[in-house]
Amino acid sequence: MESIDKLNAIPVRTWKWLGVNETRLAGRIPEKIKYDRQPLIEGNTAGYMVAPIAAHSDQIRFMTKKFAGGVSQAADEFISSQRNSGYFIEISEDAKLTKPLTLYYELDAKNPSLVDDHFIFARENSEATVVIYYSASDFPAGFHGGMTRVYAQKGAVVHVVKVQLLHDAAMQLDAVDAAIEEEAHVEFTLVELGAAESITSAKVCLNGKNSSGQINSLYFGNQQQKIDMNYELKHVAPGARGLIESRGVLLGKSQKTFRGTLDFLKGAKGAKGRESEFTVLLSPEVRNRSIPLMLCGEDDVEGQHAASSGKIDEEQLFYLMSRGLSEVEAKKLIIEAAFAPIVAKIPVAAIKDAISENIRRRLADV
Amino acid sequence: MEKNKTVVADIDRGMYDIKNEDRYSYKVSQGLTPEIVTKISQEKNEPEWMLDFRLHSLKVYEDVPLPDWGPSLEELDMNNIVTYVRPHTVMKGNWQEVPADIKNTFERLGIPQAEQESLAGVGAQYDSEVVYHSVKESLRKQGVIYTDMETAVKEYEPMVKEYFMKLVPPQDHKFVALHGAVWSGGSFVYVPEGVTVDIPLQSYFRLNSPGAGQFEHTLIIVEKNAKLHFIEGCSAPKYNVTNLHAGCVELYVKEGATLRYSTIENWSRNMLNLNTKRALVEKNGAIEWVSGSFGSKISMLYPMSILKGEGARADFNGITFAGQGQHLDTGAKVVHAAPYTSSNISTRSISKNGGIAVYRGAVKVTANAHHSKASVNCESLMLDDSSRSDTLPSMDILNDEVDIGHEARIGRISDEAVFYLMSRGISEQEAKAMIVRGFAEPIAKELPLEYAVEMNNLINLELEGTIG
Repeated sequence: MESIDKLNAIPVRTWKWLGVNETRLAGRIPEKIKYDRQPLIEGNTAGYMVAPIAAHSDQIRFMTKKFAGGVSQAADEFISSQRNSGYFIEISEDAKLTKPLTLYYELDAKNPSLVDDHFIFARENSEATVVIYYSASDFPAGFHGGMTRVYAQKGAVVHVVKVQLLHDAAMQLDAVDAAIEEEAHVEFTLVELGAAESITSAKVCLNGKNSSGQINSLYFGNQQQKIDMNYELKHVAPGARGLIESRGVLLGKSQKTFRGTLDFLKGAKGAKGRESEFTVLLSPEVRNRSIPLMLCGEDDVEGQHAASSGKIDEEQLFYLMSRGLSEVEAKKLIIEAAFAPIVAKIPVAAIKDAISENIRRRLADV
Repeated sequence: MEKNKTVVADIDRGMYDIKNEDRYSYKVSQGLTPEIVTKISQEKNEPEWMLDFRLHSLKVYEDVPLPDWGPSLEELDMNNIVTYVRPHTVMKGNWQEVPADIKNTFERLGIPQAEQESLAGVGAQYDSEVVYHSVKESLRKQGVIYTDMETAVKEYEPMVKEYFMKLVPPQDHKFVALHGAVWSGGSFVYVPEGVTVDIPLQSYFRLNSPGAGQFEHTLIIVEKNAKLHFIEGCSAPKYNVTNLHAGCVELYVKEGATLRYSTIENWSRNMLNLNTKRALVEKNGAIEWVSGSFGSKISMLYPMSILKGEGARADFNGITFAGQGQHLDTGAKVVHAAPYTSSNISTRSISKNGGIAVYRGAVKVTANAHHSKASVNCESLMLDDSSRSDTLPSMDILNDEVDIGHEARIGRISDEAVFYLMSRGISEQEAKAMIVRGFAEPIAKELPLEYAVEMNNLINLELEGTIG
């Protein structure tokens, strides 16, 4: 597959000159997709079952209609046809998993290109946390294409954490997609720290009455990094609750495009959606684009979005510096504090540390 | 409290939909060709360069595709639109001399009431040409020029040539190219350096002939440290044939100058209002837009402010009310192209009875525009569940010394607020109407009194009798 365009398209188009209607992958997807280091979580333990995704194709096909789709239809097809990893994770009815299921992927010279396709099927009233971690050993570049779908049945609670710490020269195309039934809750926590070019999508369909969905996102761009995000919360059923919370820092010549859509469909009576986006700009050469859309076909809803961007508050900085901190130290502290609520959602200590370490290292460029 | 459906009936537009008998002295054949464009130019005795410009625009028009975003314009068939209609009366300097039927319509639209001592002048456009015009003697003495575009092209040719469609070039989009080819009528205002025009200048124009498009051009130049308030208002009678309005407004705000541009737009419900408005603001200058969109079938209107000089400022206050069969896609664009510039966009939209209200906006901060501030605030009110309200803002920021904020909110009239007002002895209907008026208040208070009254009346009429 060569580079593809029309990725991350917004649901309603706007002026062409803004260049935000969609994006394209500047790099090329490698011709040979190769990855053999499969994470080890297979098995059938009490409360859940994990199996290679290919074995459950039929079951998945039956549920596809409930989802909104990924980065683009072509990208979704590419992932399902080229995948070299991926699991079907089924959480049993009423099972409450106390420990997170964690998948570690690490790209290296022998395994430079990963295409993973996961499906999490949370049965009624189950609870689970799934963590997927992408990193690279000392190896330049790499490619990751992926898709993670979550189907939460009545009353299920699922938290999916995705942490991307790929090499600075890597390329990524990743999607998460949730279909949520009555009274169920799905939360995505998405951390984007690596890759030269990262195009990600997160879509949540609140199909069931009183269902709720949340997207937490954290990103850090420096050097020439390009980060492109397309988040969508579809409030379909009455009483649906949605929340998007995004925080990020841009340094160097990095570029970011954030598209966040709150969609209230007719019939979603009493639905509430909120979206907030906050970007700290730390270099005069960054490019920061935000397109927070709100689409509404129902009167009995409450929708709200807020976006802001700018420098670190001078007064905060001054206060900390008056307490003896250097400017760089003070900035680090402020940024870490801004990120803390999202980092706190990650249940694996080692991953939390890796994130903190990465942020600190990159803030040294400030 | 039980959730009551809010049903708001359509306004009886009575007086707005009165139409005169179709009496015009000259009408070009339907469709658009270089010959028609040449004819339009010849009829106006225009200089050669203007004819060349028109023909160039026509070429651009043919090359540029229709937009691939926004409301569907498929009902538009340019071959069936009579682009130019000249009314059967020539320019008048005195209200008494305006023909009775035209005068009658204007009177019913409330023009003479607005023509008060305190108002500087009225340039009322009937069909495509200005029929009535007056400028107060005191303004003339100050060197203020206020005339129709046709006269300006002849009498102030060098100035018009320098500015005309330089800010909004025909290449911009299809309808502006069309405008460049067939423009007719409109106002020209020039305020010399240091002059403050302390009474608002206003122009009221409207469409009358079936199938006629209106392509008026407004060109305003406010020189250094000068000040002006210009009011544009429009209303057209209702017809079954699709009506197109593709006007163009170019505003040049020089160093330290202030221009306020207010519009209450109330086209009849068959109008396609594809208007282009743009302001170029120099150092420490300010543009203040006040914009109310009530009428038309489809509107695509996004006044743009280009903050070119250091310390330039833009304010935009807009209200959009979309009722049955209306698709009003409105908003604002701001480009911060210099340091220390600031902008403030505040919009309110109301949709009811299947109406579609869309806020579409853009804020761009260029790499050199450090210490810029921008704030965007959009609020939408849905009066029932058969309507739509979308918010599509966009921000593009290319440097870090900025302070950019955006907020949007959507919802319905809160039951708690209605309940509270009712507990104070106000009827449910009045309580809801009160809330809607309060919602529109931030825009109403920016308008001159008589326009604020007109807007409030419009809102009251829209809500009357059937709410609750």
